[in-house]
Amino acid sequence: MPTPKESGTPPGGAPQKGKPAARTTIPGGAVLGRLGGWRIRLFAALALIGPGIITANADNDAGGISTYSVAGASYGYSLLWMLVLITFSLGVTQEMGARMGAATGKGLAALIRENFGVRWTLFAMVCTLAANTATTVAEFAGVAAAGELFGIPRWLSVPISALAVWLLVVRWSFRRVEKLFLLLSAVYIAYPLSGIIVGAPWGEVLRETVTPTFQMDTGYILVFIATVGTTITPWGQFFIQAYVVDKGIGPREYSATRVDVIAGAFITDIVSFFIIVATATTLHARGIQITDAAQAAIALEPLAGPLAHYLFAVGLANASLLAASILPLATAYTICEAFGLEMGVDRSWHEAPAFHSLYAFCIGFGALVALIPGLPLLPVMLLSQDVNGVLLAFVLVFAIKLASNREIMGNMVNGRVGNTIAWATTVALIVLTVLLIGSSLAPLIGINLG
Amino acid sequence: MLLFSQIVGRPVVDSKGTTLGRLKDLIASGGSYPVVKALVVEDLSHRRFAVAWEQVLDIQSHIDLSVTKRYLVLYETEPGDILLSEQVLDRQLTDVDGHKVGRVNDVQLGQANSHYRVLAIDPSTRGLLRRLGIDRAASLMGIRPEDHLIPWEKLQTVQEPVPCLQITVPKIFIPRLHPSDLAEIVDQLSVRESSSLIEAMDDETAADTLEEVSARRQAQILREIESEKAADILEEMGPNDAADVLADLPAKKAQELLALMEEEESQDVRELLAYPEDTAGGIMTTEYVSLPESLTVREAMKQLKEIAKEVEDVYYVYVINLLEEEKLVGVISLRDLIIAPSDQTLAQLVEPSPITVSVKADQKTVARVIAKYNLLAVPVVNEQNQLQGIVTVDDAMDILLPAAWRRRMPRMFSRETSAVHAG
Repeated sequence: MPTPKESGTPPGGAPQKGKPAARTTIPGGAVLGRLGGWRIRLFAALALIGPGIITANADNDAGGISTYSVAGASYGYSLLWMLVLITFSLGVTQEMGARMGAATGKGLAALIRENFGVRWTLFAMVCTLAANTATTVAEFAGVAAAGELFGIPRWLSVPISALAVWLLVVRWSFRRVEKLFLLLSAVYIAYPLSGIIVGAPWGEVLRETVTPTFQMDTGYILVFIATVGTTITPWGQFFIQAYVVDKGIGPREYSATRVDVIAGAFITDIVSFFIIVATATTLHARGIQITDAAQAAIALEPLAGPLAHYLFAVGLANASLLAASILPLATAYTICEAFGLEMGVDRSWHEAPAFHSLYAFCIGFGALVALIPGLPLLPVMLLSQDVNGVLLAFVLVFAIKLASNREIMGNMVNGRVGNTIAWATTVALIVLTVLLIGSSLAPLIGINLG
Repeated sequence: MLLFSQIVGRPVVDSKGTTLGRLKDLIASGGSYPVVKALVVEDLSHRRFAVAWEQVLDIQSHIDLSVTKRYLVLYETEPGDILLSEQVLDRQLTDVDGHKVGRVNDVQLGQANSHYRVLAIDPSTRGLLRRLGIDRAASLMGIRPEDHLIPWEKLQTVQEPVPCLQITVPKIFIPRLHPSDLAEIVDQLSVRESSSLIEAMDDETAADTLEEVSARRQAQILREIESEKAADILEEMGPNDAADVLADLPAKKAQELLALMEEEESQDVRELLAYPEDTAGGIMTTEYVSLPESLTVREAMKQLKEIAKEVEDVYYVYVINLLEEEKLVGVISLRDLIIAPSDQTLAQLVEPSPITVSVKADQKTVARVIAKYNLLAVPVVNEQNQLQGIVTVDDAMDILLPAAWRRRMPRMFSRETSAVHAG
């Protein structure tokens, strides 16, 4: 908490440079400072691990896993090369967001508000709210589907998980919640394991990984784009920055965070890699089509035994729960920042009423909608990906402009290489987004791209 | 009164009519209510330059400059200068304990002589809607969030943990001023500046603001501003408030203003001025509703609809006897009138022997009567029991409460308060 005794000055003075947030919450840092060398640095660094890994892994949500399962089942190993590129893009954009949070002590929504004005902020808020809500519904739908794989009916699994997720963040301390999320991230190991037990032809896999191929049919393009869109999301961009700020990471601690963020990008894509490998090896080889993650788990059993089925089911449940906790949090952060309201996971209801109300509302609404009988889940997920896609281009443009502004970032401003990669990613994403929207809308206006 | 969001983006035009660019920012500096020193213009090639405010002629629709491009005097920023768009607008606001309490949605500027001052910031949702240009549409849909401002002198910048604007009081004490409560600010400025401020306001707002200002400052301002305008403002004020102010002015000035006022209004005021200040006559107002006792309730309600338009306080109806030189017969509360059967006459309805005070009664006695009988207003009568005026409870409270409190009490029946309640 900032101390109230700071001596303030009447508003004025030279325009403020990017001054860092001074709050740090490194446990035991002060004590260890007296001991020597690399051990403290490692210890301190480990305490900072979290934001990057958690955010990146939440990208592998129900929708994401479905996409990768479908990708593997329908197109075999041919999309693997793309994963390599996506990993770079994710690393770059997440790193930029984390660096902005560390340099300015403010979230992305706050920076957009302060630098681009109210109208752009309103646009971003409306889009973010729509996209995040749709995505949250999809997460709870994933929880429902995963529950059913274990024989738990949805009217039981969804409310219980909604309650659990809410209580978790509201009652527990930030550090405990974070540790739990990291633990959940470890559960993703289920996918690499299943990838190994299905006995893939590793020679072929590695070859395809380094050979870019492309098919000119709609189905392929859609899956291609969905894969990108499910990894790099607008909410992810807002979330990583807000998380870094909430955790109190400043320029001094940032180098550890950079490692965390890049590690996160790699870990999540390794998971994706093995999902594709697993489904490609088993389903694609036999020409079995699926449309979502739950079907993948079911389809695996006769082919690779109950263990693969089980691992996939656990993976899906885990992914959905993690994402269902994080999406509403991302929404709450974003909106509170835009309006300058008090926020933070460790703040009480009384201190930060708007933040907590938003969080509770998003969870409640998402869970409720997911329970609507007969809700067409695939269109909901597709819709959320479309809105995410539209917003992503804008968000990245904002983010890059802000991160390359020396007045805002001080000397943590974007380097030339980083900037180039970021812009290249953005341009590629914009092109892909246009293609995505085009191909989603095409059937609506009667164009058959089949 | 001017909102920053209203002028930002306006084209800046030189004296020859050439557009130089658009207004992007204002530079202000100095004191509790900084003066606008320069404007920042951005041209088509996105170059920005600052123009000293002295060269601005008019800001109604465009920003008109008094010179041509060639003779433009550029402004160099000095330490202590504030850029409104870059450093104030959209910034995070915190209270003195560091709790976040919103963002600056708009900045309120006020005119004094030919220059503008930064008066207050607007963190309200209403300000946000206004800035987006949708507050009219929203109010049509029934969304009317409260308007409130925070005066500039209550703010300071802090740098840790993050640069933001801080209100120098804890959250619960944040001053929530209604726009017309800028009287506090008026009192802070010099006489000349506050006079210019008042002069620039419309008559009604000026009257409302002036009523809240200290008596001494009221008199000073009315002496400073143009007599025509002063007379107009006095007309907008309640007759007893106008009488109070005029009593504080030198006789010649008071006569001059009375002469400039409309006949009817000045008549009321003159009557009130006839009474010594600390008597019932001196604090009463002549705005009340009186109806003959022979009217039925139905007729009375009809007439009330017309009369009430002119009168501020309609909580009681004073019933008079037309035949007996308008002597006071009794008082009926509005409530009783509303629930009475339409055929009854006011004479039948009225409570006989109403509580009254003499026109010569001491003001403290009047206050005590009001307090003792829990009245909203007490009728003031002369020796012949003819109704001369009424003293309302807020004026009575002014007498009973210490001076420091008086300015903080909302005026109970003022136009401004009822406007607020009506949303």
